[in-house]
Amino acid sequence: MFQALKNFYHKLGSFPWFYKISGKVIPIVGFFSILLIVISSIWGLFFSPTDAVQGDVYRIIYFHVPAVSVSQVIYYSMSVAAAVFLIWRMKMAGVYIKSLAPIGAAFTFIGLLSGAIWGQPTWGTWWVWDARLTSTLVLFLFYLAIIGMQSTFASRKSADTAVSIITLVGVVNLPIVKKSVDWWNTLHQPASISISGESSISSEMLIPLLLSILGVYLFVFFTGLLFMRAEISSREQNKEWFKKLSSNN
Amino acid sequence: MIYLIKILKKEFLIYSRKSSSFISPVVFFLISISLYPIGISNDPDILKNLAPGLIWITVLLSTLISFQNIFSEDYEDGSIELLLASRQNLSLIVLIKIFVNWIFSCLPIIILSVSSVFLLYFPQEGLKPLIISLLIGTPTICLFGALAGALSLGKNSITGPALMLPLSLPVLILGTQAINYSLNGINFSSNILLLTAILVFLLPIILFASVGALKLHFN
Amino acid sequence: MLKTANLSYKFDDKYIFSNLSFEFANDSVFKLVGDNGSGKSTLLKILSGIYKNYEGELSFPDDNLVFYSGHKTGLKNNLSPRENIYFDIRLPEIPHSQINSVLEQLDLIDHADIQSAYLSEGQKRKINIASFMLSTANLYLLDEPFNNLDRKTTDLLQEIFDMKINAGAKIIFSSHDRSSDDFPLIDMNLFN
Repeated sequence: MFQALKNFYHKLGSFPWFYKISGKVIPIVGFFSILLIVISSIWGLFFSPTDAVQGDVYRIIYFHVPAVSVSQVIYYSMSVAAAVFLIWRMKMAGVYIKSLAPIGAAFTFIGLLSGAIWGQPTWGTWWVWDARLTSTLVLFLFYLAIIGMQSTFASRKSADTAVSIITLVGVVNLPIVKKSVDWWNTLHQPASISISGESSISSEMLIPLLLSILGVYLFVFFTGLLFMRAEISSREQNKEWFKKLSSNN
Repeated sequence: MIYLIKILKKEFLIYSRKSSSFISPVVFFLISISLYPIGISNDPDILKNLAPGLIWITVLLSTLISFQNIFSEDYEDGSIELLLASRQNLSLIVLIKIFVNWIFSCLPIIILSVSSVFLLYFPQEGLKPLIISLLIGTPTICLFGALAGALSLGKNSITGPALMLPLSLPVLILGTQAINYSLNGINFSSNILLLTAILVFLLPIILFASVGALKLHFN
Repeated sequence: MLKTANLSYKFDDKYIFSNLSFEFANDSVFKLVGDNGSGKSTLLKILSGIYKNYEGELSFPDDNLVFYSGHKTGLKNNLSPRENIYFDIRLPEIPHSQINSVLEQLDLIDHADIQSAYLSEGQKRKINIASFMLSTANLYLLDEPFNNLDRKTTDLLQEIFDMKINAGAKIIFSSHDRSSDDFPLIDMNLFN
């Protein structure tokens, strides 16, 4: 069992193996992710019942919740990859962080934007400085810092290490930010707006929501693989295995 | 030990010769503080309420002027190469650099922030929490500045500030809150303790990360 | 003493040089030659401990005191030559009388207490030579020490070389000039 895991880890670190396997997986994942997103969108937008309190506006939940949740998951996965990179110097982890950062940034942005669009009709404001929104904004800034850092170093390895350091510093800092905004909030904003009041969701709304979340996760998997492949091919274009591969095609 | 004292003396000498290192933050601070009444309102009541936040934000922004100073010159003139070649422990040296940078770029502003009493009508009884929170909070910000500076060496990118400001958020929140608490008659010692905890907790982590980041430029 | 075996260095995936082996046996000085980009400066930085990501072996006795001088000399423009020497982190505590005598030898004594920013490039280079003279290291790694020096300083530097060698120190220095001297060469072109 341990041996099998170890083998898998070593394979995962191998660019040719990853390149080969991802080529096979991408079409399948891509197909299912888009299928799920289409189904859940149609279901959510046209067939799920209207909310008693919010009316039809709530339907943006099918974009907002998946985007926000995936943006956080991507960051946490990146920080795991950062630790792997710093400890075991696994090159694939560097590729992972570089490829996933723009995707994470995009979904954080979608989350912020859809939240604002949702917020305007329901609470009458585009933006509230509450703990969740603020920490999402900070998350977005960290993504931008990570993307910006890529070009600061001449050497690929140094850039990957720097980015890993920022990612880890960010993951240590994010809970502190969230907590401190919470404290600050209790002084400035007496809880006039409770965003967590959406827990009483009916199953007819829940199923398309779960489908859309699954769809977005698959979509991130799909685009992540695509970006990683692109990154690998730009890093390894002078390597034997890559030249052989491209001359075969 | 003698080695470290030598570096400390050298840093002090360099900073004291380079007048821009402490004058720029001071000028920036004074300009901003005098712009607020003009740009916002000269109503004492409004300014009094905003003052804690305004002072803290201005201090935070003025560190953006100086954080590049911690390493950039040493990087340009080759001093960092010599430090690496000396095989000494870099973390203590980096700590000294951050400390001297703090003395020259933050300490003058902290002293000057007293001027907000007449410029921003800041109540005198708030001075104690203001000074204490700044004294404990700004070293943490200088630490973040060192990390951002080490990572963005040689490039004048927005990455440094983009990294530094979100990191500094908790310090900003706790600092202004301490002042507001005290002005409202609430005990602010918990905020000061938290600021201290953040400093103590982050000091080794950020120091270690900065040294790592510094070494990345020499691979 | 310093010894390397199959030393290689790569930047990302491109080798700057590879399989470089040499050791100090009977020689006291090595002269590094090679084209631009052949890795002379890189090798000196590896030997001095600045770059650590090399491959191969580099054995380096712990009791060695190394003096490294690169293209960038760590000179602080707002310190005077005297202060630059006194606070040079490569040097031990040095009495001022000794600094004075070295500054005199280098014709810098008249400028000893003005800020180095006001000195000419040649004079700034002499400050680094002063540090070199005062160093008590036993291994010197010098990147193009003879470049852009006037005749007099070149001769002086040559003298210091001899003095250091007689005192038992070892020197590796890089140069564009592959002719002359009787220093054994390390030709970096052979290892690219």
